[in-house]
Amino acid sequence: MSISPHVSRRDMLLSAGMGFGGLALANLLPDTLPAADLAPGTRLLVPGKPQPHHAPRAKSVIFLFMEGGPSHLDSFDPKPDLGKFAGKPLPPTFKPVVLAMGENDAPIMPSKRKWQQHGQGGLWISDWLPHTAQCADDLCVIRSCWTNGLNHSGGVCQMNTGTPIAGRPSLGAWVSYGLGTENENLPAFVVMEDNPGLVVNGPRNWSAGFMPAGYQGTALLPGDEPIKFLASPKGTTAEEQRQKLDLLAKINRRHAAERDSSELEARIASYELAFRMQAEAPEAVDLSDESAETLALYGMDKKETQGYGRMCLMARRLVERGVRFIQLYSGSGSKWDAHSGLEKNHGDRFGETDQPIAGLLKDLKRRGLLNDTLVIWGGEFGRTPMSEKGDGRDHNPYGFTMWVAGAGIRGGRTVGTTDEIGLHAVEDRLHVHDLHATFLHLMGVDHMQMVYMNKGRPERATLNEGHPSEKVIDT
Amino acid sequence: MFDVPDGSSSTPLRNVTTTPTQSLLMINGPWMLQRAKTLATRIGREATDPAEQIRLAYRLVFSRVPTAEEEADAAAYLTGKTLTRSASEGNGDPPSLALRVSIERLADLCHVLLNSNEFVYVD
Repeated sequence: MSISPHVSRRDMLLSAGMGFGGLALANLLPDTLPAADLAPGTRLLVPGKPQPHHAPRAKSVIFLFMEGGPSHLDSFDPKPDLGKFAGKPLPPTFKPVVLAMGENDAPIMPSKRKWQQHGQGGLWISDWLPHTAQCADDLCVIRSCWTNGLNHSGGVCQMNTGTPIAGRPSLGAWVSYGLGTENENLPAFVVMEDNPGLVVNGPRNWSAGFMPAGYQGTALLPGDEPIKFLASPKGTTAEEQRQKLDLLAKINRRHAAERDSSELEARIASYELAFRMQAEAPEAVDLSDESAETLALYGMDKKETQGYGRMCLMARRLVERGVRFIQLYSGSGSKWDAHSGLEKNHGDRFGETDQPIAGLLKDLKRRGLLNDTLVIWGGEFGRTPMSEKGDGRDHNPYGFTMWVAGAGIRGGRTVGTTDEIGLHAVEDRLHVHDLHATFLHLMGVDHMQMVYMNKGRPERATLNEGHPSEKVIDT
Repeated sequence: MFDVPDGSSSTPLRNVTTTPTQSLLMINGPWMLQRAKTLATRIGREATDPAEQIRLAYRLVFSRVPTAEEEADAAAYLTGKTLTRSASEGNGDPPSLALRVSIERLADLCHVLLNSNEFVYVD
């Protein structure tokens, strides 16, 4: 073999003569572990040839992430009993909790919302969500979610990656790995923030962790130009651009051949995807062919709803074009974090998102897309029944609400309960791992069978835990 | 686009991502193009023979000389030959290095080199 200056001593020993060293190298490659080392029946998903484990109920996911922790007690989980305890500290009959801000003796604060039952199913929804309430019969409201992350960084990390500790792949990356893309000309995993660059933890929320970098999410910008530099430089023909990229690919492949790095491979692939996106993406993100009626449905004719409305409409267009996993952050930069002034804070946030989200559900439905699309709403945790600073609420990872819609899920109903003041999840408790296992199940993926071999260790999206919730999945 | 950290808080470790939107900026954005043009102008001033220009480009961008194969690829690119028709296939004339290439084409070559992994990543 030729001696390249880029081969390390270790690589040299491994590849020299392709003897034992060669065998060891083969075992370092992620997808070469013999199936015998895994539990019987485990099917490794083969990168490049992704296939679901069972018939998927959803082809795409739109995850509406209310970053900062929306209050379940003022939206989807009414607690009339809060009135009984109003102004008093947490009664000793409730298991005390660790509070992020530590205001332990703060009095209990009833919700100021007006509540009404909506739809055939009679879902309770507060007056902060008049538009979402019109879609009540499409929502399965999960009132018994719980998580470990007590602060924003840990909570957002966990809701995305399964654990509060940084470094694991996000759910979108797992789905890209397991199922691939349905459109070779667009990224499989797309993320948008209403305040770009401000989401807590930054891009590691959509990172590929220990998996190849190609599975990470691609962040698009809100506003008129979601993808910048889609056009080739002025005066460059498509043929010239192709020649340029061909030469670049050749140079990069030669360079990568002497090194072993998924980063280099990902960067080569990203140029190829960039070239294909030049052909398809301008049309995908161009909203000019949407009717005034559709724009109004998403609230794009109003200042407060325009931002999130555009993101929701973009999500529908991406779903139509086969993008697998789309995450839309509302309030990125913990803007749902109402430690004080809950009324103003949540009034504004729901005001910005309620109509766009309802518009998305209605639009997906009338276009026949809702049945194949899983829509998820929620934040990293909920908020406490105890007040903070008089008129706010602290973080509540012990019990909070998320809702799911589409994917053939029966709507107009709730799953699980919190206790009488909404502090702890009690019935049908669903941990983040259970939620992730449920979402994956709906995508056609068995969370225990989707395995990525990382340095000889079989890794799973739910850290070998969690169960899909039969009640949520139930049609 | 390249995960610039928020200046108001400390950032012990910068995020690293690899996305097609970054590639679009690098291959289509005006900033990289301008750098490539500036580099090409310098190379055009310091060398006239295309083969010499290619070697100078590699020296300036990668701090090394190109291999024979790399030089042939670059020469083929400069003279507008497609890469699939390499010189070894014969087909009459090998890329004429004596041909003086336009500064635009040279800038395109520089643009490619500045986009390459060898330039972007430190080993």
